Order: sequence, then structure tokens, then C-alpha cells
Amino acid sequence: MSDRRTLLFELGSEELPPKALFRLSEALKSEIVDGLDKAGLEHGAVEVYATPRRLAVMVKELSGAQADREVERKGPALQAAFDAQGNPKPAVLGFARSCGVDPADLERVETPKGTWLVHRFQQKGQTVVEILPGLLSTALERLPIPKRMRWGALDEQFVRPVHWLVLLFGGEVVPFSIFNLTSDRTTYGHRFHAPGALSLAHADDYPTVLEAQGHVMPSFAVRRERIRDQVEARAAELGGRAVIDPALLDEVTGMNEWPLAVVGSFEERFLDVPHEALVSAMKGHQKYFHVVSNAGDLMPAFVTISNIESRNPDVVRSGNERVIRPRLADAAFFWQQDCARPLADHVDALKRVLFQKELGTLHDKSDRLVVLAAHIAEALGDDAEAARRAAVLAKCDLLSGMVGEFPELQGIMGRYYARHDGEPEAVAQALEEQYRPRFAGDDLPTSNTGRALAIADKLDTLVGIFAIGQAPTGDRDPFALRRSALGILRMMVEDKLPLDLVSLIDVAAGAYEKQGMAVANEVRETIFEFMIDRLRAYFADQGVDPDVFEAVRLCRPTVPSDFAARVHAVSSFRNLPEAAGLAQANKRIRNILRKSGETIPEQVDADLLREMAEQGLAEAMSGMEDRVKPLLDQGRYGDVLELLAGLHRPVDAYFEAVMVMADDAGLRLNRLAQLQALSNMFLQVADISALQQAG
Amino acid sequence: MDLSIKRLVILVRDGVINEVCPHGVQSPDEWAPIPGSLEAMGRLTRAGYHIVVTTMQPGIADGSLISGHLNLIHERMNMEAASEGARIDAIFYCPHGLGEGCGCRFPAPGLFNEIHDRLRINLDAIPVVADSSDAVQAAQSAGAHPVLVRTGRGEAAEKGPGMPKGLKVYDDLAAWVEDYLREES
Repeated sequence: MSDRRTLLFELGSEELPPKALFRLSEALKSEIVDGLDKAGLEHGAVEVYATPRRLAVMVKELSGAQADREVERKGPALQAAFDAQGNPKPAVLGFARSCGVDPADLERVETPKGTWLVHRFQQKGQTVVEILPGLLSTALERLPIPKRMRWGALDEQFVRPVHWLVLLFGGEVVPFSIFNLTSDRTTYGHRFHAPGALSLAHADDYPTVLEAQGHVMPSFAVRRERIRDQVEARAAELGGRAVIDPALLDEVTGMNEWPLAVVGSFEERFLDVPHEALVSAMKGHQKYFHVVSNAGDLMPAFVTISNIESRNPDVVRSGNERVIRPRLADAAFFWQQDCARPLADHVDALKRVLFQKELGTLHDKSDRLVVLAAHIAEALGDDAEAARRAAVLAKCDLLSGMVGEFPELQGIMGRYYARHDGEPEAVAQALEEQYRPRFAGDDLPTSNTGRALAIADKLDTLVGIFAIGQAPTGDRDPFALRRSALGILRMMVEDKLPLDLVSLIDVAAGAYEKQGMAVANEVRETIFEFMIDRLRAYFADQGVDPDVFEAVRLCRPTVPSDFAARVHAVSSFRNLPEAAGLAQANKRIRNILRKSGETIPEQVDADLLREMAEQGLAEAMSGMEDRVKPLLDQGRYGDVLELLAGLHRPVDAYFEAVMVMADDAGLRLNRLAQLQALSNMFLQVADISALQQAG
Repeated sequence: MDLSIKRLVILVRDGVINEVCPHGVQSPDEWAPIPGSLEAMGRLTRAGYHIVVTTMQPGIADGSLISGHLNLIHERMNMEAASEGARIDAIFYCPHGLGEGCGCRFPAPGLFNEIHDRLRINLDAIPVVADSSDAVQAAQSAGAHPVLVRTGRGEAAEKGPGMPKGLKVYDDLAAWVEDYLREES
């Protein structure tokens, strides 16, 4: 196509929500690209622009029109088209009329099913000017806007009131109307530095005009990097390094069109306050980036981003310092006030805080955690006393002034206050670690008491919520139970904890029962199944094949770390050359046993082994049993399967030579007994008959 | 901006829509609506009026408020207004300090002129609801039609100097909307 030009679409609005901005702009881009692709409009690179006051998409080398298409419409079959005199039948006349041609102009096409009448014609491709309005309306309609605002009289609405529209194809305005606006070539610059209208001669000029005349850096990605560079440079000038949380960086990028870094400092005395609290105050309230020394210690300084280039930077600096001071003073006040009372003083007050309707108060929860955490600690051979103490104090920091002000500090403040109170270090550490892992990929607890409390806290919630019938369904998981379950499993598997899920669920349920709330057996089973389902997702994420997982699941191991050991063993087993044949043989054995319907003896009678192959298999098996047992006891499933792989020759020989379902009942039952014993050897690790044949 | 705007009201933010803070509203959690104001704005929207909000933000000049944070505050105002069915079409603000000699800090009429230019609308009969004599004067010099409410600093302003003769005074935004919609209908 010769006529290829740049397309620019810009939508100018009141300040857009900063947290949603990036997602919104990417969605707009992909909707537009989708629309262009569906319309068959060829194009080059696509740029996306997003600032608080605009969303824009630029498409390079967009073809001006769809290619013309050869279209073929199929009519009646030739056989049924003409009467005896050779005149067209009504069906043909109707078809020709609908195509707007004479019956004589219809063409014939041969197909394997016979000859048909067709109408062929060139369909003119639509132009960009014709296609764009519909395409853009659809794209805007499909944007993921959580609360699309609608107000009776003004129907079409965007996430924020829209003030202008630019739609340029090369140098020409493409007419488009939406949100009571009509497209033009006029954009606007920075609210204060360049408030006037800016005319765009050509779509290509957009970023340069905005940056040079409009005081706007339109590209989100470029602006984000510009902010990062500035923040890093200013922190380096202070002799430290800025801590740049990607989510905060995105949010700040979404709040500025012309970012300028400003540094500030605060009084050193505030550094006596736990640093997490200072960071929360700076980051959460003020969107400041905090600065640490090269050793990683918090420095009494921050970097913030201003959208306006001030004539008086010192004033801006001192203003920022003035604003953060009361926030930091609040944090210092809470710290001092909270330290005046030991954490344990809050235990009684937990009785007045509801954990969950029907599941009692936080005090009730804490009582249950004492039972469960101590049980876990004992099962791990760890200090049960520390676990009990940690469970008693677990929720106390929720009542501190600091956590009231900064809820994200739950657990962290618990650790500080416990240390301050002189609680054992294991207890202090557990108070923080109980909430781990807080998100996918987060660190696991590192201490035994921490693990015990973290597992107990999550499992208690899981069991309780299931018991009151609020288990997650579909997209609904208001208590984030899937995440909790995955957290529990990660701890058990990755730290190889010898904990049995079924008995833990029973202990957790028992703690509820002691408080007068029964947890039915079916509910316990449902919880177990839910956990195994999460385990399936966990292993799928690790790239474990679904049939490997299934082979293990069929044996129903209830200790997740043991489950994992079997999964790894089966994964390596399936790579052995013997695996496919043995999987097949096990499948065959399973079928034979299922069909037989007879009572199979437990013992194999060596005297009844007539065939050489039977005797050979028996010999191979008997040699193995003694070697398998100690390996199983040590959980060395990989070694067990490797050993059993050695059976493939005798097994192959067996099936070549032996007719299992012999007429003689004695022989038959003995053969079935031997096969059952063979199958059971494998089932000690996994049901390898579930393995799918490799490629 | 929509060229077909005819029905427009201009509201001063602090003292009319939300409570006044001594140091200015600095974060979304300090923004507290005056009882009844958001519902009243919802009535205006349903009656087909566009709403433009104006506000003085000297904190931006002195660094105590970063304009990004102002957006967060306005985010909250927009959300709360929307939940009462009110739609704020635009917010115009002056970012300058007291001594900067800008043309948009009340009592100068610059902010209203900006509204006139951007919306291409004649401000002749457009009501401006204000809580201070500065805002009243600014509206008057721009040719708009100011009224005073007693919320915010309004009660002091009513007794103070500089009030034009015949200026209508209402208890709050809700009372003005009640009266205005009745007169207009």
C-alpha cells in the first residue's frame, strides 16, 4: 500500500486515577491494535502515551484502507438451476436479483460435490476514515474501568470527564464524535507551565510538541525512567541510595506530567522510631522515596517528585519537610505510647475485637492458635512453649496505636514490642513471621516458631471459614484462602516439614470444637481436597506434568513434603527407558485385577509357579523387597523406583509367556496374587499406571 | 470541552463542598465533605447542570502540597461525589502563592476567565457559590453571579467588609441548590 501514515488518537481528561493509569493505557493500546488487526489494516509499531491528563496511542505506518477483496457468493446448484427448456428457475432469479446482476452473469464453479452457480465480485476495502470511529468507540467501551460513571442525561461517559479529542491520520483530522466532543488537532500542555492550546500539524509531531512546547513527557515508560534516574541521582548526592518500590514508582509516574525530583530531610531523632514506621509514613502518606546508606540503614532524608518546576526550589523543599514532620511525629508518639504498655496487656482487650462473625473474637482465635501452634512445634521437635507464648501474643499488636495508624505494620510492630518487652527472641520473630508468605513469591518464615505460628494462623482461618460454609467459589475468595493454602503448602514442601495435613486439620477442628463449634468430617475431607487441589496448582507452576501429580495423588499421601518427594521421584522415573513399558504393564495388571472379581490370596504359592517366566519374576521380586523397605523408610522414593525399574525385563518376559487367566483356578488365583504383589510394590511410591505414554 | 454547555454552576471547593482545614487539605483522609453538599451536587447533575469546581492551592507553590497529591484528594472527591450521583466536569485551581502576583488567585478573576476560555461559555448568568469575599469579588469581576454560603469561612465573610449590596446568602450549598432549582424550574 502506498498510502501509509501515522495515526494519533489522544483523549484529554480531568486527572485520571494514578494507580489505574498504566493498566488503562495498555488496555487502550491492545484494544486498538486488536481492532486494526481484525479490520485487516496493516500497520507498523504502536506507541502508547499516558499522563494524568491524557491517554494516547500512536500507530506508525497505518495503511489508509483495507485491501480490496475478491468475494464469492454461492448460489443454487447447477443441477437444480434450470428447467427442461433451459430457463432459470425462480431460485436462480432470486439469487441473481439479490446480487444485483443478470442470471446470465453468474459464474460456474466446479466442486467435488458438483457444479454451482456463484457470483464473484471485488469488494472495495473500507478506508481508515470509515473504520476508525466505530473501532475507537468499541475500544473505549471495552476498557477495564471498574466503576464506569453514568449520569442520566449525559450518557456516554469515561472514567473521568473528557475535555478534548485528537484524531489525526498523518496531517488530516479524522472526524470522530464521542463524549459530546468532536475530534480535532488541538491538544493541551501542562496545566500550569503551558495551559494554552497546542495545534498539531501532523500526527508524528505529537511527542515532540508536547515535550518542547507543552512541558509534558507523554510516554509513561520514558517518564518512569526519568523519575527513577532523578530519584537515584538525588539520593546519590545525599551519599545514599533511594529505595524504589516499583508500585510506588508507577503511582508517582501516574501523578506527574513534568516530573522534577525534590530532596528533603527530617530530624535525626526520628530515627529512634522503628524504621518501617517511618517508611510507611513517607511512602504511604506522602509518596516519598526513602533513602538508605550504602550499609542499608535508613537515612534522615527523602526524595519526592513535583509536577511543577518551581521558581523557588528551597521553598518547595522546606514545604515538603514541613508536611512530613507531623507524620513522623505521630509515628514517634505511637511508638513511645505503645512501649509504655507490654504487649501482653492487650490480651484481654482481644475479647472485644471480632475475628469473624460466627468464629468468635481475636481472643478466641488466639486460644485456638495456642493449641495448634504448640501441636505443630511438637511435631517438628521444636519448643512448644515458645509457640504457645507466640500464639498468645500473636494478635496483640493489632491493638497498638502504631498498627492502628499503619495497618501494613501488623506483625512487624509485634516483633518490635515483644523485643522491647523482653520476650524470648523466638517469640518476637514468630510474631512477624506469622503473616508470611504475604504474597506469591514472598519469603517464608525462617524460624521454627515462626513456621508453627504461620501455619497455625492460616490453617485456623481456613478450617473456620470452610466450617461456616464460606469456602471460595469460582472468582470469589474474599478471605484469600487459596493464597493461605498455598502458603501453608509452600512452607511444608519447601522446608520439608514432616507434617501430616489430615491430622493438622483434625487438631485445628478440635480447637474449634473445644469452643463449641463442630466441624463435620465431610468438611474436613473437603478442606483436605482443597489443599490437594492447591498442591496440584503449585506443582503445575513448577512444571510438573499433570499425570505425574495424578500418579502420586492416587496413593493419597497426606504429608505434603512426602507428596513432593514422590512427585520428584516419579518425574525422574518417567525419564528412564524402562518407564513406558512398566507403566503399560501396571495398567494391564490393574485391568486384569479389576476384571477378575475373584478373592485373590494374599500369599503367592511358589509351588504353583509353573512357567519359567513366573519363577523368574518371583525371584526378581523377592530379591527386591528387602532392599526396597529401608529405602522407603528413608523416603528415598527415587531410589526405590530406580530399583523397581530393574523389573522391566522379567515383567516383559512374564507377559510374553504367561496366560494369566488360566482355566485351572489354582494357577489362575496364584498368578493374580503374584501380579497384585507386583502392583503393590509400585503403589508404595505412586500409581504409575496413571502415567501417560511419552510422545 | 463540550461546546454545548449552557447549564453550568461553579463551586468553590473548600468551605462550600468540604470543610476547611487550617493548613489546607493535604491528603485524601483530611478531605471531609460538608453534610448535604454531595447530595446537593447530585441534584444539580440530575437536573442537567455541569459542575465546575475552583480552588486556591498555594501549598503547591510552597511545597507543602505536591500536585500529584492534589490529584489523590480530587480522586476521593470525585469518587464520593459520584456515589451521590454528582459529576464534576472540571476542576480549575490556582497553584500560586500569596505574593506571586498571579492573575488567578482570588480576588483576581483569572480562574474564571480560564473557565470562560476553555468552556467558551459566557459567564453572565452563571452562579458561583463561594464562602469568602475574595471569591465573591473574583466572580463579580469576571461577570459571573456570586452567592455566599455560611459554611467554611462564610459566616465571618458575611459580617466582614467588602460584600456587594444585594448579595444573596444561604446557610449551605444544599440550601442554595434547593432555592436555585426551584427558581429555575
